[in-house]
Amino acid sequence: MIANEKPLAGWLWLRAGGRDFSLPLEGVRRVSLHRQLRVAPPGPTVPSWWSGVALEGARPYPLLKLAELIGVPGSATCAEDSVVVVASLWSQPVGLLCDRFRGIIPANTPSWPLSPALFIAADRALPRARLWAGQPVPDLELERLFPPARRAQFDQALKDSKEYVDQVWDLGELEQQLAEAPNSEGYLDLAARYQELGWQAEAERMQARASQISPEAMQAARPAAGALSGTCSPRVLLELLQVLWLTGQSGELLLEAPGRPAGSVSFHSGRIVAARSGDIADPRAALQQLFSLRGERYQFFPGTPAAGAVPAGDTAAWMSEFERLVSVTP
Amino acid sequence: MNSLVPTAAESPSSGFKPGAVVLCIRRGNLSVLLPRSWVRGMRELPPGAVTPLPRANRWVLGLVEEDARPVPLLDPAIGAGATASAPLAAVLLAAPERGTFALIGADGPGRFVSIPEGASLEDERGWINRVQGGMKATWWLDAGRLAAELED
Repeated sequence: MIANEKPLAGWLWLRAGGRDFSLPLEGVRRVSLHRQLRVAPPGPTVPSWWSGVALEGARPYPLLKLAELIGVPGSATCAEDSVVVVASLWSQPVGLLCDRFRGIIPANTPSWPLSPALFIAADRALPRARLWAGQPVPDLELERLFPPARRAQFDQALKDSKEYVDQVWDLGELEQQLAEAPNSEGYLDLAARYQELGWQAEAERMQARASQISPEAMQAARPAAGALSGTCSPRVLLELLQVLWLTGQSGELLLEAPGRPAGSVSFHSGRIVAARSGDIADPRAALQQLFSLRGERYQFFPGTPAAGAVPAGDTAAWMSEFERLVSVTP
Repeated sequence: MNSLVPTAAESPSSGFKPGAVVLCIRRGNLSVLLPRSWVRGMRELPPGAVTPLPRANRWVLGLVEEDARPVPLLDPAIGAGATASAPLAAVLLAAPERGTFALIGADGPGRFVSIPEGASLEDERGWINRVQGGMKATWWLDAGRLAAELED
C-alpha cells in the first residue's frame, strides 16, 4: 500500500558506454543492480546487443545492452555497479543494461530540441537535451532505437530465447530448492544440466557450491544478497536514512512502488542534498511523503549524486523529526 | 523545429561578396570565413567543455553549455573534408535578435578581413563552400544555410 499515488515525475539519469542519457520516468518500472539478477545467458545466434533474459519476479524480460543499441562503445564485461533499468518497450518490460544509475532529473528542468540534421540517422532517438549537473544530457527515445530491421531481430531473439528461458526457469527453481536444503549431489546434478545447456559459468558456480557443502554449511541459513536493498517500511526507511547519514555515504536511494519509481533521496557524505516524491521536489515535504510507503522496495546506489554537495537542509534535525514521525505511526 | 534558428533563411551565399567584411578563423590548414552579421562573439573551449554527442555526424563535435543551454559545436574542417586537432575556441553563431544556434570550432581568436575583389564561391551546395580567386585553402561558412539545415 502506498499513500502517494502520484508517480515520480521527471527523468531517470543514467550512464551507458561512458555517456549520460535521460529516460522519461513514466516508462521506467524499476532499477536493479545487475549482479542481483538471475540471467539466462544469450543463445548463440542473438544480436550483439542482446544480453540474455532476466528472471526476476513472475515475468522474465529481455536484457539489452543500452550502449550497443545507442552505438557508443560499451564495456565487454559488467562493472560491479552496473544497473538494469526495467523500462517499457512496446508496452512490454525490457531490461536496459547500463554502466550506472546517476539519479533523478526533476520534471521542471528545461530542455531544448536537437536537430535531426546533427545525426547520422534522422531517427530522432535523441530528440532533446537538457543541462544537468553542469553538462548537456540528451533525452533517449527508446523505441526509436529500433528501426524495422532491429525490431525483427528483437522479436526473433525473444522467440529463440523462449526454450532457454523455460529450461533455466526450471533449473532456477531446482537451485532455489537446493538453497533451502543444500546437498552436494544436487548441486553436481544441477552443474551437469547447466553444462548440457552450454552455460559453463553457471555449471562452474554449481560445482563450486557443491565443493563448499559441509555439514555445518548445510545447517546454515542462505546468505543475504549483500547489497543495500530490501522491503521498505517507515521504520526501515528511518533506519536506512540514519545508517547512510551516520556512515557518511554518497549516492542515490531509490524507493519503488509496484511498477514504477516512487521517490529518491540523494546523499553526499552522509548529508541529504535532495529528495523527491511524486511531483514534490521540496526535500522535507518529499521525505515526509516517502514515510507513507508500506511494503515497497528500496535500493541504494553508491556514487556521487547529481544534486552536488550542498545540503538541502539540516539532516540531523530531519532525522529527529522523522524519528518522532515513525514513533507515532501505527 | 529548432526555435533558436530563424524561420526565414537567407539565400545560400548570403553575405559573400567582394569587399564585405567577414570574420576569418583558422582551423587546421584551412581559413574559414564567416558572415559578420551572424557572428555573435567568440569564446574559449577549456578542456571538458565539450560533451560528445552519440550517433552524430563527424562534423558535430558535441554539445557545449552556452547561455545556460546545450548548443552544438561544429567543426568546419571536417565539414570541408579535412582534419584538425581539437578546437581551442569557438565562434558563436546567431541570427539577429535570436539565441546562439551553433558554435563553430576554431584554433584561436579570429580577425575581421575584407573579401578580396575577384573572389567567388566554387560551389554552393552545402553550409561550407570553397572560395576561389586569390584565397588559398579558404572556405566560406554559409550561416544562413546552416541555420536552415539545423531547422529542418
